[in-house]
Amino acid sequence: MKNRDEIYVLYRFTGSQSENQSHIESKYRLILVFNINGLLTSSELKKANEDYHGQVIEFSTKELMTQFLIKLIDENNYSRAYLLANNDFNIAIESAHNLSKLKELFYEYGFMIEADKSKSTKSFFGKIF
Amino acid sequence: MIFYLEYKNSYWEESLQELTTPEMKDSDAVFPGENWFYYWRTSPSLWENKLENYTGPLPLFVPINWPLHSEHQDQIDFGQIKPETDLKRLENIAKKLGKEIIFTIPVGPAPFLVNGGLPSYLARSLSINNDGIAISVLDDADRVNRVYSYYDPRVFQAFRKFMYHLGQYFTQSGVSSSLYALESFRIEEECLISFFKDHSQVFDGGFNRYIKQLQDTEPLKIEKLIENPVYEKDLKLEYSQLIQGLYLSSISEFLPGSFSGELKICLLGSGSVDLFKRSSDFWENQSDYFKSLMKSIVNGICPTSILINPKKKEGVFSKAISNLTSNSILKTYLSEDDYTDDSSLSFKPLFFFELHDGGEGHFSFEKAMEISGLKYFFEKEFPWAYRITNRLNLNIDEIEEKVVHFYFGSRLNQEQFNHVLKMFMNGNKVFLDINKISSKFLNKLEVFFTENNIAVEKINYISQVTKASLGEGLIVTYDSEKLGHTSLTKRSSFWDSMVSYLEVKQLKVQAEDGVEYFWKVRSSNSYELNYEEVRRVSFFNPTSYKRKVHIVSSHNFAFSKTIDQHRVEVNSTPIGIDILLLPGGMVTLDFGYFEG
Repeated sequence: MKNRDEIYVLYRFTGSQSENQSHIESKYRLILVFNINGLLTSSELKKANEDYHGQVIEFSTKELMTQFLIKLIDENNYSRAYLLANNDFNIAIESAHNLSKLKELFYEYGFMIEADKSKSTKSFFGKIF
Repeated sequence: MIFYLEYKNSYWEESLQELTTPEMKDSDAVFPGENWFYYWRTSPSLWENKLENYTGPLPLFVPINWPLHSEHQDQIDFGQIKPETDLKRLENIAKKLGKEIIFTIPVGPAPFLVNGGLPSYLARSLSINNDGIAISVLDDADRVNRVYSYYDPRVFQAFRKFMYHLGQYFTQSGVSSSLYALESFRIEEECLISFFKDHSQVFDGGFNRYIKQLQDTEPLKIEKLIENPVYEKDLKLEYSQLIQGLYLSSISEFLPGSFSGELKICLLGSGSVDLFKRSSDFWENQSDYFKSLMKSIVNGICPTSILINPKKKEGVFSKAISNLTSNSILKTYLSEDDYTDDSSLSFKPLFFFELHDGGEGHFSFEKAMEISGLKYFFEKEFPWAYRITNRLNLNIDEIEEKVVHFYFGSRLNQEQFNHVLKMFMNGNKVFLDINKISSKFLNKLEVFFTENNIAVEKINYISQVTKASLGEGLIVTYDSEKLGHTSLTKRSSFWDSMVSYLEVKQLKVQAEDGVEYFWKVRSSNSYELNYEEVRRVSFFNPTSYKRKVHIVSSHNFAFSKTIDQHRVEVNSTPIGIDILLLPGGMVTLDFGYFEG
């Protein structure tokens, strides 16, 4: 968490059996979206989704979440976003003993999305899963 | 020169690898904030010197660092192996110096300690918050402390064992200082949350066992759960309270002579967002800490800045928290009889309104206050001049008459409802929110007015408002849901009108954005007999800009003096007092208040 042109996204993935038990229903809920100055403002989030009015932001697939975040960084002139799922955070935090390690968490364990090329680069968890 | 290798608990092995030369700790490290003393952060040979030079508020809070006393499962040490675990020696030094200490023992995660205060051999299941995130905080030395679950049965068994040995040690060595059970809180989205609350798998496992047990012992609860799955929330709370009660009872069982009550603290900077906020120099700012500080005060929970890096709290915030953690204020957080208000000549936070709730369940004051518009109204007209309490059945004789009481009808049981009526009869002023109140209580209220020949005014002003008075007593009923359907401005005007009945006497303050301020009050002394009381307001400017404040004159107040001036200009004029606060500026003003 160092650069002004980056955003950091902490999200929660939950999967549950559908009502007719035929498939797993997934949910990707954004917990925190921030940059080094603070949480992203409503107006910034609105640029990526004009229906945003302060409600919980949730997606049924990772692709939809990624599309939203690409639009978010494009519309607000960020260069990239780092995504970290809650379960990955919970593993990563075990190895972050101090502030400097904490600052590296998203880079080391996160999943990066770049703006202009709209391509993603996998880091630690992305590479092994 | 004495070198001391800092004890690092779970970092111990790592430290041994990292440190080739013993590390000299910063002189303030043993005093992380306010009246806290970390005895493990220095050599016992320096305890006397440190305490002798300490000039802060008393009593000193000394948290017992369980991991320090039990590095291994089969070892509990109170000075036998490591001299820094000798609590009796510490007590003797404090007594010799006339510095009162209070030992505290965490009965749940204590995030200012490594592993949340659990010995490393017990730090197995991370405590998880509502969002599925492992609860972690940054401490004052910028180390990340992860918090582990207290719902693990192994933790409870080990805690009992530790309490047994602590009790033996206190008795045999003659430790006589008070011992308080310590519960830590954090602020999440403006609400105070106990660190004991946990959503981990360990919690779920324990809860499932509890449900199975209820099937045999209290099947009605299970039937209710099947009918209404939302009831699970209440049962989870019940289970959580049961477990917390077990920890508490271990202290009272093994340390009956020392156990003096519970101390609730709010660790500023320990919320989930704070972990990230504090990792950015651009995001972290003192204004946020002010809000948390005041939120803690209005909730009656002792605020502390022990997690915040000393460099980050320099200046106005440091002054503000010192101002609100004086000896007399600290003592009000300790429930022991010895610490009841022994000096009305000490300044205490001033509040005009008290919001009551039993504290059970999942009721949110913040939400209720927001819906009714009270939150906005208080912020605008009486910032931080209210108090939230979970003591529903206050002793009628001890209730301050000047305070206006708010009750939420849907949260009252029969006994509590009767108590509200008794308060009214006793001359207190009560606002009762009738949203979702039982119709039985509404009927009872009607009958009560008729039987006692009490004149009732009914008006329709956004909500149906009923106003009844008897002598000094006043009861006003309103429906918060109706208010919730109108604009914020209308809701605020509603409260303007309602509160105008009460004639709350307070100086009006017009402060620019970014200025933080709070009021305190004390009784007048023998030299101030013209006044009923003295009100003190302190202003702080944590921003990087100049900020103006105007205090409007009122015939009930006489400006008395200005103190603690720093980077400020104060001008008294016939229409009020003008204050110009430079960045980092602060000032405190005293006013004499008299009736008339």
